[in-house]
Amino acid sequence: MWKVVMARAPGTAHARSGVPCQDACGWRRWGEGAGETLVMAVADGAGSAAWAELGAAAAVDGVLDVVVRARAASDAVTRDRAVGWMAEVRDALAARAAAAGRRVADYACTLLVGIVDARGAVFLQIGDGGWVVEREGRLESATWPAQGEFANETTFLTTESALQGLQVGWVRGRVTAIAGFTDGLQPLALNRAARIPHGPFFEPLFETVRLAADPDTLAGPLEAFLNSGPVNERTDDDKALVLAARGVAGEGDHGVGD
Amino acid sequence: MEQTPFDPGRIGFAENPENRCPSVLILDVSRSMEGEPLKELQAGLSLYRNELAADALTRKRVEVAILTFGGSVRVVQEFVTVDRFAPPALMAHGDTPMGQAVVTGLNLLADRKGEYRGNGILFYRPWVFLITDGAPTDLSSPYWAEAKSLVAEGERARKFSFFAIGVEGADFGRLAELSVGRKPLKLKGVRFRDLFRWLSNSQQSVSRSIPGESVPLANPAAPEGWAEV
Repeated sequence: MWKVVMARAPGTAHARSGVPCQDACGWRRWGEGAGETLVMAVADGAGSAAWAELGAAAAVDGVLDVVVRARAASDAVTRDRAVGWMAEVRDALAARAAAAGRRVADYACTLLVGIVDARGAVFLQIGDGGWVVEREGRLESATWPAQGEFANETTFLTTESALQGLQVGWVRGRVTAIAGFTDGLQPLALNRAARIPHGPFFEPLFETVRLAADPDTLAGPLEAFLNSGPVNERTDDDKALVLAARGVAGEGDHGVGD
Repeated sequence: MEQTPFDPGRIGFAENPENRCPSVLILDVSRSMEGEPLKELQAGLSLYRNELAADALTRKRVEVAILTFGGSVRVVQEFVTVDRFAPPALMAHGDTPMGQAVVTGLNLLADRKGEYRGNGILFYRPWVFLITDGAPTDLSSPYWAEAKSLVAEGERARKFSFFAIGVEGADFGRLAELSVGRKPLKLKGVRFRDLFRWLSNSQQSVSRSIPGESVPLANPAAPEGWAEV
């Protein structure tokens, strides 16, 4: 059974200029025991979007709703189905924008979703940030940050060609831990030249979650980590991180999502 | 004693190279630049270096390459980060092979981008600055046509931002032919220092920018700016 912890924190650049944290995160679960399915999402609002933080929060809630309604098994998510879900979320954002007299571009954000069950996992991603999994004792990047030509460019859910470029990463077999993060943590978590996740970053995080008696008590410490001096020395962007690890056999169910 | 969960002291951080902000300066050092213009241009370069070096992030991210053209085209500074950049001494000499200088500079930039990509290094949209007080003397060579074509293609495909700056006496007609995407600017007098201060401020903003943020730049042709309308 899964233990899940998540947190977000504003970047120092935004804290300095009084802009709120534009990252969002959330998760849900359904089923019991071997039939348990977990869905997680993170999103990063585009800095220049007028309502970026609303857009990111709405995108996370929207995609979690869509996936829970579908009750999809991880190995039954085709690319077409994934594109359909993202289109639904984007259309909902557009309707929301129209109702508020705003443009959908005002809600621009990246969006990352992960679904894991007994059969494996599937990860969807528009934009930067990423998903890292632990499987058979090894770490793998299930998705990789989508980079535009230049360092300060990526795709957003509301971008014209975003759905065509949707990343879908399928992972077969028994996944034992997952991390989803927005681009604020990329410089610390990923080895860019080698295109691999940084083991010493993820391993202690997964271990802490795996061994926690009550994962809900970890939310505060995780947020403190994201706000810590060592992290903020390396990145001045907003940060969001969701961590999930399979508990040790014999422990009971814990907590609820989002 | 209980360990604090998620203690940053116990979590390893990846080492990644800094993003780069490439800056190519293509400088006219033909005979007519002798005297005050060259002296001020030299002072401008020193100021540029000092302003960039004053900011911790820019110092690691901006990479400068300098070409001069006067008689011949020379690469007087290969791409180097600011902490290792010492402005070269400029000397006036010869005529104005502008076309060849632009082609050489843009090829140098293309090679550098290839190196970045090969090493997983991210970079911001490069800046290319052409500064001249005259007219190209290599119009009849294949270089002029190639220069125009490379600049047009580069601007169209958003590969770089190309700025043509003419000092008093420059042939703005030819500069406009070259810089189709962006109107050439005329420097007020020999205010190179103000130009380079503007450039270093702009590059500071860009090298801090995060995806989705637009970076407004101060208008060079504003009343207090360095360029005349």
